[in-house]
Amino acid sequence: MSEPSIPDTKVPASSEAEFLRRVRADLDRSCSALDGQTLSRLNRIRHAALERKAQPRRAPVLLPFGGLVTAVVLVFAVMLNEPTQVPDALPSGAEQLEYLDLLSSTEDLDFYEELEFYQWLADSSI
Amino acid sequence: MSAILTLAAARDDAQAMHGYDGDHAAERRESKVLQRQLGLGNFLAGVERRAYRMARIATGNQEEALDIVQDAMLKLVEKYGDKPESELGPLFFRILQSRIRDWYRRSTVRNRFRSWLGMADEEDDEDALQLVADPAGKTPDELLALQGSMGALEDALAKLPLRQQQVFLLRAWEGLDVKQTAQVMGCAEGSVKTHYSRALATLRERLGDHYL
Repeated sequence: MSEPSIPDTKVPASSEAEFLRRVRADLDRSCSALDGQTLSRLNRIRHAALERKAQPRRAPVLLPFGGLVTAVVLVFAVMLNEPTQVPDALPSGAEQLEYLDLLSSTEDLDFYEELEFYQWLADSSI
Repeated sequence: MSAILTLAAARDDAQAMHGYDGDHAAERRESKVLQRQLGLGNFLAGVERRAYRMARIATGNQEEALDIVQDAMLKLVEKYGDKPESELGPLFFRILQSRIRDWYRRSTVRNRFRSWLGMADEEDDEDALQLVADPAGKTPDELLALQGSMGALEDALAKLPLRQQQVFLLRAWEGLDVKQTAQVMGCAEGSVKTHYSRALATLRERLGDHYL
């Protein structure tokens, strides 16, 4: 990329190429002339960057906790915003009496499961 | 029975072979990582002085220039550390240019606020002093070199508009072509050509006395 340094001789920079060659040479010399303190700091900067590369990336420890907190917040939000289940209409008076009859009856539960059969049996006997 | 034994032996052979290959693959991966690390170190060592000089010419300040180089190196290592060495040059200079532009924007905004707050006069005096080369901070070699054409070149480059200055340095010093320079600078190829030709014309005009 960069050409080596050349002596600072008084050559006419008639052409563009010659001008650029001298510019490059001067810029290269300015790099060589950097003071020790700057070079030392550049060295430290480079080593710090390379050390960062060498260090394995640590897994984000708090990430699962963040996910957990988000899930809990979402659950609470859904629970709080869920509309209360209100029945469309209350049972009528006759139905209420029927339910009361069922609840107060001493019949076995199987009887109510086979209620249709007994209904049919009762109808056919008539 | 013999068929089962044959199958078991084949399985053991395959497992042994797989384990053997696995060990070698791990070694190869480790070796590749080390090679990349070495290549990255060599690249940064080779480019750090020029990067610093570019940033220093742009900012006119040693501390700012070192901060810019540090940011650019860290970003390159973090984001593109696994890229092949041949691709690192344009990537590094793109980051460096981005950092230089960020610095320029910040300093422009800061200067505007100062002028609005009426601090321009005091701060201008301070800035003017800071921009003067500090002879006490230079080594004898550096001072000697600055007295010649190098000092004049540095002064002429510092006076160029930022884009012209950086395009010129990338093209003339780093040897990037027009396309690469456009990618690094984040502008059109036509702009690169314009900036470069203007910078070249200005520099030839200003440095005529020193380079003749």
